[in-house]
Order: sequence, then C-alpha cells, then structure tokens
Amino acid sequence: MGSTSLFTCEPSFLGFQNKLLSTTTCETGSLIRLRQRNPTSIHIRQRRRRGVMAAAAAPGAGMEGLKKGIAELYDESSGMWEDIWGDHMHHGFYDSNVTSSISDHRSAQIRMIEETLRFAGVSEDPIKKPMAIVDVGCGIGGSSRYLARKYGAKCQGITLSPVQAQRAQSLASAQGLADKVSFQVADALNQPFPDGQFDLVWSMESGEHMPDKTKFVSELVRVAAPGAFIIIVTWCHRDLSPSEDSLQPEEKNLLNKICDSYYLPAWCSSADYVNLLQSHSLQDIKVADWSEYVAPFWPAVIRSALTWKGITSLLRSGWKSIKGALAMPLMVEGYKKNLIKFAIITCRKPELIG
Amino acid sequence: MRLLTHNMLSSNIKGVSNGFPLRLDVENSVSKEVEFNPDFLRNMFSKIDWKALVDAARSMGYAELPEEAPDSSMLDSDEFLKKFHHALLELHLDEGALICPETGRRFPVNKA
Repeated sequence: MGSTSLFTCEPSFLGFQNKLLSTTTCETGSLIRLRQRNPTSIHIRQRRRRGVMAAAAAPGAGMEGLKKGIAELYDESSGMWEDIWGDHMHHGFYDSNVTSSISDHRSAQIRMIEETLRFAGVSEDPIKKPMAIVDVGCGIGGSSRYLARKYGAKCQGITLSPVQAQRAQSLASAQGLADKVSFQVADALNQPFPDGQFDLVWSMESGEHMPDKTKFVSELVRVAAPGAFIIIVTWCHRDLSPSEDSLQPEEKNLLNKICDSYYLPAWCSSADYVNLLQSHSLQDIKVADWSEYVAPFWPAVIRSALTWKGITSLLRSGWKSIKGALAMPLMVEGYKKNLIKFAIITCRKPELIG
Repeated sequence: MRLLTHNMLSSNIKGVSNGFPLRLDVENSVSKEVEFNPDFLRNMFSKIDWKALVDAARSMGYAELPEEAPDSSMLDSDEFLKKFHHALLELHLDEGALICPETGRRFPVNKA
C-alpha cells in the first residue's frame, strides 16, 4: 500500500495514452492497462486518428500538402546539398566545438553512423550482424550504401522525393552496389514491405518529417523482424517537466518558424518516442541526448551556404532551398536555448519464443 | 490526472474480468484552465466511455454532464462542448486513488 503511485503528468497529446500506459506499467507492474475499446469505436478511431495526432496539420489535405512539400524541398535541394556536403544528409558527430573543414565534416557524418550503431549495440559478428536493412527516409542513400558495404547486407531505402530515389540508385550502380541496395519512392507511414522483413530498421534524421509519430513508429515496428534493431535518430524538442502541459509560447513560436521552412509537422520530445516504443513492448529501449556532439554542425552548414559555391547553388536550386537556408540560424537558436535536441532512441524487437 | 486519462485506464489485475472503469477516491482535486479546442473534443468523443466520464466527473463534484450519452447533434452545441471540455480536460485528480472495481485494490495518485 502506498508503494506504487501513478504520474499525474501528461506532457503532450502526441502519445499521451502511451505515456500513461508506460508509466503505469513501469510503476505498477502491468496492473493497469489501456481499456479495450469495442470494435466500432476502434474503427472510428482509425478514421479520425490523423486529426487527433497530427497536431499541426489539418487532417487529410494537410498531410498530402506536407508530403508534397517534403518531396519538392528535397527534389529541389538534394543536388546542391550533395555538391557541397556529399551523400550523407545528416549531422556529423563531433568531439568538441572545434571549427572543422568540410572534409572533417564528412568524416564526422560517417562517425555519426558508427556511433549510432555502437549505441544501439548492433553486432559485427558474422552470425549476428544485420542482413536485411531498411533505410526509412533514405535521402540519396548515403546510409544505405554505407551499411550495405559495412555488413555485406541488402538494404532498401524509401524516400518521398523522386529525385533523391533516382540519384540514390545511380550512386548505388556507380559504386557497384546495385545488387545490394535499392531505392523507391514510398511513404514511411505506409511502408511497402511485408511484416517482419528487416533485421535493422534505420531512421536517420527522417522522424522529424513524420506527421503521425504513432503511425511512423508502428510501421517501423511492423517491418522489423523478431530480434531486429530499431534505430531512430531525430530532432526533438526538449522533454516537458511534470508540471508542464506544453512548451512555452516563445518556444512554440520558434519551432513553428522552423517547421514552416523545412516542411516539418509538429515536434515531439524523445520521451514521446520512448513511450511509443514502450507501447509496442519493445526491449532494451535506450535514449540519449546527443545535442552537444552535433553542436558544430549547423554553424558549419551556414558557413558553407555563405561561400560562393553555396550562394550560387542556392540561387540555382530555388525558393524552397533558400527558405530552408534562411531558417538555419533558427536551428542554431533552438539548440542554444536547449529547446531543440538531437536525440537517439534505439531498441530491439523481442525474439520469438520457442 | 485528467478524466480523459482515467477514461482510458482499466485494471489489469490477474483474474479480474471487468476492470473498467476504475472508481475514484478523490482527496484533492483541482480545476486547471485548458484552451478550448472543439475539434479535439469532437474527435475524442467517440473514444470516450460516456457513463464512466459522467460518474467520474460526479465523484469530482461536477454534475453538469447529461446522464444520457449525447448524440452527434450535441457535438455542434457550444454549450455542451464546454461542459464536455471542462469535465474531460480541466478537472484534475491531484491526490487520491484509483480503485479496481472488482478487487478494491487501490492505486494511489499523487502529484509527481
């Protein structure tokens, strides 16, 4: 008596049910669960789910507009990015706040992949290493090709951008990996794969684009085979404290401006992801804040944009890219204010028993 | 804890056939103002067990909700939505307990 207690905090509606479920199961040992709903209300729930969960977007039309915006942003800006930064479209992992040259950044991006795999505990052992990988939000396939080469595995990448998918495939062919990696245009909220196909589910900086985090995580879990690693590296906002219902107005303001330029739906916190993963009964859930290790990245991107090559490329690419570039100082501001976090969340799907 | 949350929880104690709804023992409750969002309320309505909400609200001292589960036309009434909003989102159980309806097991609730 009195040894168990329930949190009274519900930080955000995104995954609030799962937050409650996770805290109650942690604290009370599965003595409380979500009630079963009758079939008709589950059906209604799925129809209306978009409206509830996609906090920033209006249901239906909003999601389509967002997807189109994402596809167009990357169609437009991918070439320019690749030109200056190479084929990895994610943050680099740095030791400390040193000014690095572009080549240092490229190796930092490789290091990000390696540190991520290490954090998750992915084995290089020939028996245990991944053989079937999915790269969710694959960009031009940097991670896919790297992982395929590292493990000798097959990798499939999905992106909303036709330009990226095509470029990813060309690069794969050019690098002799056409038999190991393939790319297609597809929606991460509706992955075109059967259940349990992959033993490594990789989402490197794509989670921030997903308007329905619940569906996004469900799909990651669905396509994961028993024993698979699920790895999410993404931008989040800071965790809310128990007394908070939501972020402060100025914080929301800043995020909204960034959302606008990068075609991002409403942000969530890494705690929200943990709760979603817990709701799927996944094991070995680990989360970390790597904001300090990526600190040099945005200032470096800004510097690269201000070079002659950067400016001319931006002008050639188009308005969406320029808008994106203008939003970069906002990202720096967000990190400085400890509002934006660079988070890694990893877990494993349980093995089948017997 | 909001009543929205309470409405989603059920006792999972082994052997219990119907653990929903959990009864409320209210020691300390408070009302916190929450921005009124009619779209959210309309979306949530179909997921809510109405009787459980009415009973829970009553145990928190709020008896304004209609006993009968309203039909969808009520969802257009601002007056109804405001009552629904208050009960669902603004009433908070700060201290007390949730009680399994079959076993009587208490789950204490306190401020985190």
